[in-house]
Amino acid sequence: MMPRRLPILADRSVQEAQANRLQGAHEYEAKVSAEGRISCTSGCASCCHYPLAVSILEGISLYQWLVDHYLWTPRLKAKLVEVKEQTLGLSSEVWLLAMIPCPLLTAELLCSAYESRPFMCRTIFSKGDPFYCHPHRLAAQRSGILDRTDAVAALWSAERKTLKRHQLQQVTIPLAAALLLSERIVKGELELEETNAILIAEAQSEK
Amino acid sequence: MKSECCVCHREAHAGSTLTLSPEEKKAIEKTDGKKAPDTLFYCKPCYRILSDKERGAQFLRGMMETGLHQAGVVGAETKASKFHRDLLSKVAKVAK
Repeated sequence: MMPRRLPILADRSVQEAQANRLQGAHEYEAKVSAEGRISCTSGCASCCHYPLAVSILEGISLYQWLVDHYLWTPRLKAKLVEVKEQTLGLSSEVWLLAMIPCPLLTAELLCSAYESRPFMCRTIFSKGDPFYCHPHRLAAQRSGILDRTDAVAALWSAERKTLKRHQLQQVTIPLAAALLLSERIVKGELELEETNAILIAEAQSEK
Repeated sequence: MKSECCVCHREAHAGSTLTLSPEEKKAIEKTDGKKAPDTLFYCKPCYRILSDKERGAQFLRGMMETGLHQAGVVGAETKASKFHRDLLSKVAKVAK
């Protein structure tokens, strides 16, 4: 059975935002690579334990990719519910120290959605000693994680326009919460335009 | 009324308040060198993490390792790992 699709305008916005993210990430990676050697390696996964929040458009895009690749399983959904419970309203410092792994990280320390991973995961690079990228050692300030403020700001600026089209504010929520909400939107239980209040409530929840 | 969470230091309405026993107060005073409060307030997200055996122990390990690294202690991760193992074995004993 074909998975349900979004209404055409919402679908176009999701695709437009994804295209912007991919382009932004490619440009950033090319710039960083040209400036010197990156020390990140497959299987390190330190940054897969960092706090991660995404916009609803990014959540929908990732959800659709997981469905299309038959990875949206009851097992993954149960994991997302568990991680959502753990991370909702949690301060980033506590999240980091508690080392909550990304729900998409496999036991082999690989990303199960690598091809469709969020922008923040695509643009995190270190040029320092990966030992110091570990969440418990970040405070030592020797990790060499590159500053990507400009790349993130450029992306948000582009995404703001797309969100505005759907009367949505620019709010990011933890990945697990975003994926679960995306499922409801794509299944037609919620209109994209109706999610503003939910997003704001989830972003500020239980503080 | 909002109270400040003793873990993340954010103000929150909802959470859990724990009353410290005289022994716990004594232990805190010995470590901090100042008068311990009668109660500790934890906001809901922090309490959820700390009341989870696995995540709570990992958080305390993280606090310790971060502190040791900041202090420039050699072998901080080994010391923190040992602390984490001891913590988990204590939890297992209490659970029995």
